[in-house]
Amino acid sequence: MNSSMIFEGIGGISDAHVAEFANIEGNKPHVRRKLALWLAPAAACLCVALGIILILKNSGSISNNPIPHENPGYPDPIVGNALTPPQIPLDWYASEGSIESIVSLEDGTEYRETYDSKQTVLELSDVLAGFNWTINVSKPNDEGISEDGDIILCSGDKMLSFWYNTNYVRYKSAQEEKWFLASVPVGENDLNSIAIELFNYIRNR
Amino acid sequence: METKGKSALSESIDDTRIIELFFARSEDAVPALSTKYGAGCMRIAQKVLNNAQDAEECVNDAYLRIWQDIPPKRPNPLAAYVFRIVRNLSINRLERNTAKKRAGGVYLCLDELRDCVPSLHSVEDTVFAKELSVYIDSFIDTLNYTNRLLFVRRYWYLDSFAELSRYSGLGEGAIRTRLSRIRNDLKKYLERKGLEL
Repeated sequence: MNSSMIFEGIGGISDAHVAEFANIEGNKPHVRRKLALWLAPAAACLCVALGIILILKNSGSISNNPIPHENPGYPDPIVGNALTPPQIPLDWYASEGSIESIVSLEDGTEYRETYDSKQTVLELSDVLAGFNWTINVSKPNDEGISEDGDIILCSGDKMLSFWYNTNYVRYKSAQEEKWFLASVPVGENDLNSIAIELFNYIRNR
Repeated sequence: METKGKSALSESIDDTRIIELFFARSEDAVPALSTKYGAGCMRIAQKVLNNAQDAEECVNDAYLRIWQDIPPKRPNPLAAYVFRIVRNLSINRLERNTAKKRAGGVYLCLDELRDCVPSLHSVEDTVFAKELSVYIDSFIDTLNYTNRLLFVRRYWYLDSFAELSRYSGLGEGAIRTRLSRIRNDLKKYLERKGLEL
């Protein structure tokens, strides 16, 4: 009864709606939409390419960022107090807003100095100059990444690299590459303050 | 009075011309109407009655009714007017023929439409059907072209899913799904309008 009623209601719809489809042609074949032939192989290739990129990225073969803790494929850094590799007779230690440097000479003598952040750069520069090290500031690439470090200390073919906002340090020579990790955590700004001061020093010269 | 043969009356003959023939009481009026709309009339009658002979009689009855109505009526659009007469006559005949027996494609449509009804309370007033038509009309206005086509062709012209597929280019499964959604939407629409059936 109720469906009859609604059927009757539909029967009474306006002429406009009835006429709209009165002379409809019935020659429209139903064609199941097929994916383009190239689509499946292209999708497969894309997946393979993405997989390869992910694998390479994870293995460290492809990286824009040289900092090891953001690149799991890099060798584990040496964790300790030393911020410089043993090839340089200079250790840096942080202590309450100042930097203590220890220069160890081959005869066993040590020169200890404590610098505040301002003095550090100037005096550190002098100290390093005494060992034929120079300080460079690299230019970041278009992606804002300095592959060789934001602050670079060079001596011959040896290169010591620092990056802002991290306490990783890289030592690189013709023979080897080593990563070092400062004992102070990032955020206490020991290495960072050095880097910034070094940067300011270079920029203001 | 014109004496053109039936073959000379193409399907593209203008509705106005057909009405003029009726007004002139021309013997070509009904053949002209039949040439243009005869097949459509037969399809509707056949779908309602599910019987070729009954359908043909119904269509002839419809021609007679139209002959009596024009003049003075000057229906526009003619197609809707003709098909509506055929449909109504066919349904009336079906009711007579099958007072106790369910048959014909029309009942399949009735079954499908049962779910559209918001509730199953008594309907006492025939005015209600007219009110319902107005609401269904405005509901159809909310549909896009394809959905409108499916709804009107299915529930007014009583087309089969295969025919709807040919008209719309959609698969029969897709059509069933769409019609189901349209029926649900119609039910909600009628409920929003406060219709209690």
